[in-house]
Amino acid sequence: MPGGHWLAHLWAQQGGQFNIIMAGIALLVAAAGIAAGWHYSGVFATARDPEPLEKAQPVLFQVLYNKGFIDELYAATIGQLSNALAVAWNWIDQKVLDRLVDATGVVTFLLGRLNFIIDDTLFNDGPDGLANGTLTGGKGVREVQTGKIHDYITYIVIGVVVLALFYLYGIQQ
Amino acid sequence: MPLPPYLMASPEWMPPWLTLLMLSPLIGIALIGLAGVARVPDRLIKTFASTWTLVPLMMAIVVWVSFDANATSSGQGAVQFVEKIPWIQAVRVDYFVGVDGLSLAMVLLTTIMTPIAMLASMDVTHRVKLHFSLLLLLETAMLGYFLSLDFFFFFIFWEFSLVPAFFIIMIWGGEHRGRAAFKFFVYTVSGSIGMLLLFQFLYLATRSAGFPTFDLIALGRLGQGLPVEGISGDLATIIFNYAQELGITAYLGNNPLTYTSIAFWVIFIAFAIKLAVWPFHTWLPDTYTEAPTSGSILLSAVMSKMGAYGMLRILLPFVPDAAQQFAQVMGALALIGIVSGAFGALAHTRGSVKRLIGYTSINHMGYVMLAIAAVAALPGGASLDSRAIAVNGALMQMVAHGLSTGALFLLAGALYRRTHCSELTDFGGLRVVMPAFAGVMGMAMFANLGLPGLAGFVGEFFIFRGAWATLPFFTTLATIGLIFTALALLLMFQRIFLGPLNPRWRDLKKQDLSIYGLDFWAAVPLLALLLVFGIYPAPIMGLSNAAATEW
Amino acid sequence: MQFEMTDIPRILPEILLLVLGLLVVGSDIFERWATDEAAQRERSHSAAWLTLIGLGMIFIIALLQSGYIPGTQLAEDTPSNFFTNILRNLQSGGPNSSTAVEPILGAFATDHLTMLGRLIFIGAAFLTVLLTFDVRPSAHPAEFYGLLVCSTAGMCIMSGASELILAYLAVELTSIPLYMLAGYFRTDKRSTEAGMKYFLFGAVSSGVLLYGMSLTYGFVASIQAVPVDGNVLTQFSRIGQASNSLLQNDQLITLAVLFVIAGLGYKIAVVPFHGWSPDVYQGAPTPITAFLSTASKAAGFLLLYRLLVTAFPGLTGSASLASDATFTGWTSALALIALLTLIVGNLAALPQTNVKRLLAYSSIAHAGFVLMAMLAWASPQSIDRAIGTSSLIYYLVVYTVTNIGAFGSLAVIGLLTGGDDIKNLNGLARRNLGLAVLFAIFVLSLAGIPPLSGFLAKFYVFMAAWQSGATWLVVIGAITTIISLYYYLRLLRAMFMQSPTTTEPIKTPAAMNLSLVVACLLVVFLGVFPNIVLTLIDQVQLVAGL
Repeated sequence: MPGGHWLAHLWAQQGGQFNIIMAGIALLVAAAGIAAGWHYSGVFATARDPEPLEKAQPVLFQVLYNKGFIDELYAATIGQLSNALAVAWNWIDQKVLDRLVDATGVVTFLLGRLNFIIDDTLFNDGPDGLANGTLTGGKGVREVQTGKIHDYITYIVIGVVVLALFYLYGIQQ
Repeated sequence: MPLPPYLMASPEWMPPWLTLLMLSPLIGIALIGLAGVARVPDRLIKTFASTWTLVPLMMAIVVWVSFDANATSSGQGAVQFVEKIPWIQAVRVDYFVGVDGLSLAMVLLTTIMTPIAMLASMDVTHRVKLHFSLLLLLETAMLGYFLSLDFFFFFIFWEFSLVPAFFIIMIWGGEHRGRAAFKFFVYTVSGSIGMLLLFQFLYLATRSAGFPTFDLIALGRLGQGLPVEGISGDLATIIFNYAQELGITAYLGNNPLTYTSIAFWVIFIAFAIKLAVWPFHTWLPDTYTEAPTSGSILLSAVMSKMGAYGMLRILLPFVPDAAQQFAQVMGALALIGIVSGAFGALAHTRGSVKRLIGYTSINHMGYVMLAIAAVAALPGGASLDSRAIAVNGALMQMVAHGLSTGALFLLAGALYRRTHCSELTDFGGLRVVMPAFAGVMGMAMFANLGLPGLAGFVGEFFIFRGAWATLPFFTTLATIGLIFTALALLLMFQRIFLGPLNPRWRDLKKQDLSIYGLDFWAAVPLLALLLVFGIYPAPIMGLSNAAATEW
Repeated sequence: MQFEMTDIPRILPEILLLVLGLLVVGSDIFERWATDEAAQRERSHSAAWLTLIGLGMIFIIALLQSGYIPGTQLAEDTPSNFFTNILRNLQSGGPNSSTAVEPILGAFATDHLTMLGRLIFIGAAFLTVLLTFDVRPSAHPAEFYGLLVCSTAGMCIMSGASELILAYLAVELTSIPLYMLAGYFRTDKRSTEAGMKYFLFGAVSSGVLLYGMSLTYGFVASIQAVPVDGNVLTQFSRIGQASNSLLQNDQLITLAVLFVIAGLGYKIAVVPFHGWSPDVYQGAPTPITAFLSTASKAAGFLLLYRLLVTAFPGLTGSASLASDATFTGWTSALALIALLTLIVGNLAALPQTNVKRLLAYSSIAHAGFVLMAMLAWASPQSIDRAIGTSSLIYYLVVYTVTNIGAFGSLAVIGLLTGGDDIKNLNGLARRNLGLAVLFAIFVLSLAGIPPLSGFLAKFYVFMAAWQSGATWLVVIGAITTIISLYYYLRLLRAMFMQSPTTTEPIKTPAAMNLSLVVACLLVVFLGVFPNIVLTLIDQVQLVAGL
């Protein structure tokens, strides 16, 4: 067996022996069923004739007729359950897991936006707008920068001071 | 440079065959470019590109035929057709390609599915040259990924395969393509960045042990404790020693398993995202649904296998002890994936066809994951049989799922083209007007759900047999998945083809599959292979036997 | 130590650049001075041609001098003829000659680091000039090109300076022309604003830098046992000796290092010294932005690198968080700055709607990656330091090429579509597929997608930071790389997916096209065959260190 030599010991085990009694019983039961069917077939003249069992044993007939209500039972239990599970899994998948993944992206963007607000709007556009407001229509582009460059230079100063404080006093010498 | 015994160079007379195989799609692109300059009509370009993909296919078949499946050496299946050239000396990167049983099966799958994807995009009318060039580029990237045995190139192709896939989804995809393509790209890259960092760590660790390398085979051998020339000790020790050198041990303690476990999880997450293991699978339904037919085919049939291949190639050999430690966790994730995929599919039996198939993919990749977990649970020694069975099963399942899902997406695409509908509730009774179509799709569906006699069954059978030995609990529960995927797929079939005919489709008769149609010829080779491998799986299984039994 | 005739070949590229600058300005006199459009264009073109040819020749001369092209490095016993004589004279000043070991007058090193720097800057200037060909001509074209060349000369000196005063002069020589270039379009409000802002910011930063330098000098002079003639104490090597002799960290020298880093921080535009760059990049003429964001930044990095490595080797410290005691020295300061830069640069790029501004933030973020390469100096082993140096220079080369390409593509797009907002990119693929593909390649390289060179550069830099022990920074770097994908992919989406407002095809001017194609080939080539340039870069260790 190519591709399965390691299955050899699994497949090489003893198969079942042919048992004449078991085979005989099975054959007899099957034959009896066929014989019974043959015997009762005479009851019907045409295919539309009512089933005699329906009158004699209506309950038994219904059970047999509906294959023991196995399908209905199945639909009501396992079927319903699996439908419910499917809906639940799907909900978890799309509403919980996927949301989590998306939320990571959204949080990143929020951080970006926040950063943008601080970096550009608060420090930048605020003074900018102020300057623009006071200089509407004027050609004084020069003064527009004063507001901004001020802030940029504040960055440097803060940066250097914080670094200096950190290195002079923050770190254990 | 002299090669160790477990690496076999190709015969002297052969040109650098694998490199040529990898580059052949690029030549196709160049020719398409020339044709574009010469203003060749699009119809001819389509035909040309599809025909050209037979070149890599033929070349792969040559490799397959001359591949010696029984060659083993120094405790592993031999890697053959090796080409190894120093590339970046500064960081000891080699251009190192070769095939063994694992990669050869994947190479064959890639070269088979690309022509199919081309046939599926015959109806593209918008930027035809770009579309076909991108498909060829994607083929190069995927082949490169499966052939590279140096981490640097492996990673380059791994990441680069995203670029053509991104553009294919982005330009020709469905309504929400932008979102899907973004998510697919960013998710995969974020997963793999950790792996990149880990490999740099491994490089530095091996460097401090005196043998700097990115060689996947050498690192894999070190991981399993097999001898490698130039270095002694196993990978776990090397990692631990370097961690000690860096002083990390002061924080994380002195248990070497801690460090291999970190490595394990980093690699696992990178590949689990690509393989769509639960709970890293959420990109998959969106992406498969939004991608154009050719994209869905290649994504589901080949690209998702890149994750499983990576696990078999890197995760298990590198950190076998950590993998054993976490085998139960992997098994549990696989089980959840199997069950959730099945129920996910069931929940979409009134939704989109492609989404339903996508969910069954999650389910099927769950089986592959289960097999990998089973292999991990038993590193070497005790029961090589079950290991080998599980590896073979995983490989068979990967190939079979590639073929059958490819066929399903192909047919779903064909159905959409005929009806411009993708919601299952819009169909009904199509068998009356399209009997041949129903027959072909039915066979693809049965192969997908694992009907005995078709290839899907072989894979699933071997996986369950192999996983039973080590993960009986998860294996038992995983059978739930079998039932419900079958149910979902059958319901899909019922909603499309059975029942009363929806009067909208009365005129569809003329568009049934015919032996003169391309759709038919695109589907037939897949179904034929599924049938052949279902009855006689040796051509695929035989490949990996040496690789599987030895390690 | 004296300046000798034999030192002239060693500074030949700088001399030639200055001559070229004067020539460009001077030759303008012979042009037809008229105010109509055609005449202006003619004048501008002739200045551009002169600059282009000159820069090209200087590039070739520098390349011959360097001996980097295989086969051009003369052996000792090569027979003399006309060509070998010229080559021998050139190479006597090259980085491979025995004289290159000692800096000229202790102030100007002509080693491999300088040579690679020159090639980067001159090459970048060349590509930039190509990009300016079709930008609207101004009234004084010759000055534009003259200033560009002067600035390039300044950068070359920056990369070779090994003494504080020369370093400062070089920084100013680089910056002052750039102030003017950034504000070159006098009638454009944004451009004027950019120039002014850049100037003010640069002035303050120069002050900080000078302060740091004077502290350094004061420190070195104060610890000398015997009084030394003052003008040698500003040499990096002397400072290095002094700072090495310290038994424990001195607060004065710590402050000095911080001020120097802060002062040069504006050249390399790292947070929190980055404030000027988005505004200036956005306002300046786009080719100048390309130049500013690449060559000027690379020059800053090379100077910072040489300064920190040779002048403060004793204060290297480490950025590792392994224990409280290990987080010290300038590597830790750089690591902190890199951390801020990576986070702010990448996050701020996310919400941008203007491509130029987006790329400006992206180049701020890239500066953070470059800083990671410098951390490798924390390890005392030369093999680790070697990786750090090569990764630094490789990143700079790759980044220069890629960013010139990116801003260059943007210059074309701005020129042809009339704006540089993301919406101007919409549907570019349908209007000019070639341009869209080129831009996409540059953007993907910036994002670090293999096999483009941006990937290998990041790979290398991460590795350098890994081994320095700054694991935390590598992790942040990796996360921010992922974040950066969002905004890079947005550009691709606009070009390939959105529908354009008009499908009218656009045509790229030939000169710009050439520049972009060259840059693109380099981006791909450096990524696929990195060995070729890495072998050159590996030579840098030999001298640059100390």
